[in-house]
Amino acid sequence: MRKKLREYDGIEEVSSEAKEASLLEAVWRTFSSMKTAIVLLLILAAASVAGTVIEQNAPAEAYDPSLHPILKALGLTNVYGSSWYVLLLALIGINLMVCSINRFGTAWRRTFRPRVAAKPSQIANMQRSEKLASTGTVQEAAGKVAAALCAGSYHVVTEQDGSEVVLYASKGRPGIWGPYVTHLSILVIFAGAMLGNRLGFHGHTIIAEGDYTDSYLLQDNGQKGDLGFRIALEQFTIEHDKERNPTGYKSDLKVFEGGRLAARKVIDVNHPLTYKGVSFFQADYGLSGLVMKITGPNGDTERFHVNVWTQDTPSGKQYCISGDPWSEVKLGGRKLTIFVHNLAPDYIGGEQINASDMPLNPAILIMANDRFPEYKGLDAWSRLGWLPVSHSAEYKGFRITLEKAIDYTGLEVVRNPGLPIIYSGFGLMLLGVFISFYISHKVVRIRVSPSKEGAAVVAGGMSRSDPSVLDKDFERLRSALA
Amino acid sequence: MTIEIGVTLFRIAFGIYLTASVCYIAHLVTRRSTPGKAGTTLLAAGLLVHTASLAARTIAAGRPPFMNVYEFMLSFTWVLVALYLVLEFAMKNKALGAFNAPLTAIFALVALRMPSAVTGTLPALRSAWRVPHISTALLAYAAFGIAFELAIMYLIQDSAGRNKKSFWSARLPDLKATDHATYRTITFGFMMQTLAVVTGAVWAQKAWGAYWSWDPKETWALITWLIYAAYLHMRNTQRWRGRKSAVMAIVGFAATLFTLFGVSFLMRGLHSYTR
Repeated sequence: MRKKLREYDGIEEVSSEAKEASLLEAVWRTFSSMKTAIVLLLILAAASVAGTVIEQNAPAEAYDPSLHPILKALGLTNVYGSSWYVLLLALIGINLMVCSINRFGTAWRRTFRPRVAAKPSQIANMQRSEKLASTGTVQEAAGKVAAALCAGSYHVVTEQDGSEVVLYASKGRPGIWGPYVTHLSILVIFAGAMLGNRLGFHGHTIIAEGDYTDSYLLQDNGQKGDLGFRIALEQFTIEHDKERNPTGYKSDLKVFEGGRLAARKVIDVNHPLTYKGVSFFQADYGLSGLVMKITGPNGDTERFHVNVWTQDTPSGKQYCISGDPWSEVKLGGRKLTIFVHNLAPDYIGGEQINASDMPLNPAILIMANDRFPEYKGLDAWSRLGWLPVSHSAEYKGFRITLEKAIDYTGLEVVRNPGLPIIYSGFGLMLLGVFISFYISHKVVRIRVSPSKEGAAVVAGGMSRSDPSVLDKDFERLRSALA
Repeated sequence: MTIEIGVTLFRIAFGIYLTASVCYIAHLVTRRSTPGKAGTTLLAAGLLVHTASLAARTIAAGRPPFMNVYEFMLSFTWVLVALYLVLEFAMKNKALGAFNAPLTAIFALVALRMPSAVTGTLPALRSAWRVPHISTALLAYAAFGIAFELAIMYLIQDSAGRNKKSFWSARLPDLKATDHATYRTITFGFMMQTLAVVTGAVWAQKAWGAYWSWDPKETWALITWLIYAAYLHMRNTQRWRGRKSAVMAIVGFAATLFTLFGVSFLMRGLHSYTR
């Protein structure tokens, strides 16, 4: 049983003579309905609200203990990834496809093979309708009318119907396809998103200055992934203005493959590096460690590394020494123990100590002791004060220098092969929306029949947008026949 | 110094809009054309002063005024007035002014209570996508605001009934014209909203590697888009024009307001069902 689409020149009605409504037909009918589309859109909107008011993907402790099991069971702790949300999207996709398939034939016919002949009653029923009279023959009148329509940029088709002439004029036919392009774009975006999710990944990695990595950690489950090449951080810099507001986070990255330098870019937040389909985005930073240099009384030097732990807190980044805060060196027969008492990321001294929480001028507060651990008295420790980078302090013949502060950069590592498809979808959507609303399909139907005075003209017009745009066309018809 | 000049200019514009509101309401009630003409003239004058305020802000900040709540509302109210004037010219009817001018004045008043210091541009916001993304969003939300006013006007007129002699029937444009204006305003807004969401997604991909993260601001922009998509489907094919459409236009604007302000002010602390 085929669906009958009755067409009143742009105003469609889907009617079906259901002699037997089998289940399949009932389902098809539901999915071809505009009402279904509206309901689905509104349900999707409501469902999306849920995900913004309920904490998403948080550990169990973040939820009210009595509500958590219910929320989790209903999938409300991960709304946008839940199976019912995906099902909703699938239903919308099916709805789009069925609606488009159902109406495609009509749209095709209206664009390329419109029914030219129309009964006078049908013409009279159109949005605008006028009866005009003209002297002269039917052919002359038809010719004038056709010329007037052509002057209005219409595409005119003329047919002879016995002693009468029927004309079908249309304009803005691409407008018919606007909704199809828009709906297709949604399906394209869905496809791109699915492809990206299946074949792509989203992870992160941390690289300290002077270091490199071959892998990343997946965002979803923390599993390690292999890059297939090596990426190294030359230097990380924070650019800022006079008031110490950051203006740029720059990582100078180098990519090595097969032992050779394959790519190099200084990335910033909006300017990632992409190599072989994998993109690296500037996401985070911190202090990774410090290098201390001790020069002994005899001129020998020793270096040791102090690890730093960077933590994000609501009040900004905090830095602390991880591992043992003291180190012992033996030089020239003597030994020295250095204790890192405190760490300041942006040292300016005075009472404030720090100008910001960014590692712009790291400094450490150290204490030295040459009798530890034999003598554990606190009076053996000497406070050597704050040492910014490249500054030294002297202690009993030793020179203690904070040689280097090592930053690290946190990068989002992303591969999304679906991206070109998604961008195409975006483009199609913008095109479709524009065509739908700003290219208006207009149809003018005319029947010219012989009359006592010469010719009687019945004209009717339909416009997808405001019918008042037809006024000019009718004015042209009137003056052509006058 | 320039900041203060900008704020003062905005205050003056607000005062002019307030006066214009009185004129428009007078025009609506008395049906005399003089207050109506005064309203339009004042609105246009206010827009000029407002433009100067925007210019001063741009100069003071060294960038277009899209960065904090004050700037955004400064720009938003400008578009609200500009779009209205276009519509007034197209509709050749000033009744909507009695709704738009006061609403604009209210938004301007709220804006003037916001801190007007110039905030620096965070590295994440330093992108060529910022201006297209925010300006299309502004155009969309202002259009939805005007559609909201038209919908209110529609419902008032509709409730007044067929009685041609009732207070409202004699003063408001006919239902068909209002309904059609609502539709045209929303199609413009929808086009802009689509652009805003798309430019936002492309920008997010460039900045964070994720074109869509389901964060509240993004999601609410989508929710707003879905509601207006439902509106458009209702109108074009369901023949649910008129009253039902007007209600949907109002619901859509509620979602717009939440997208604009609710997310920023409520969502940070609002995590329902958490301890």
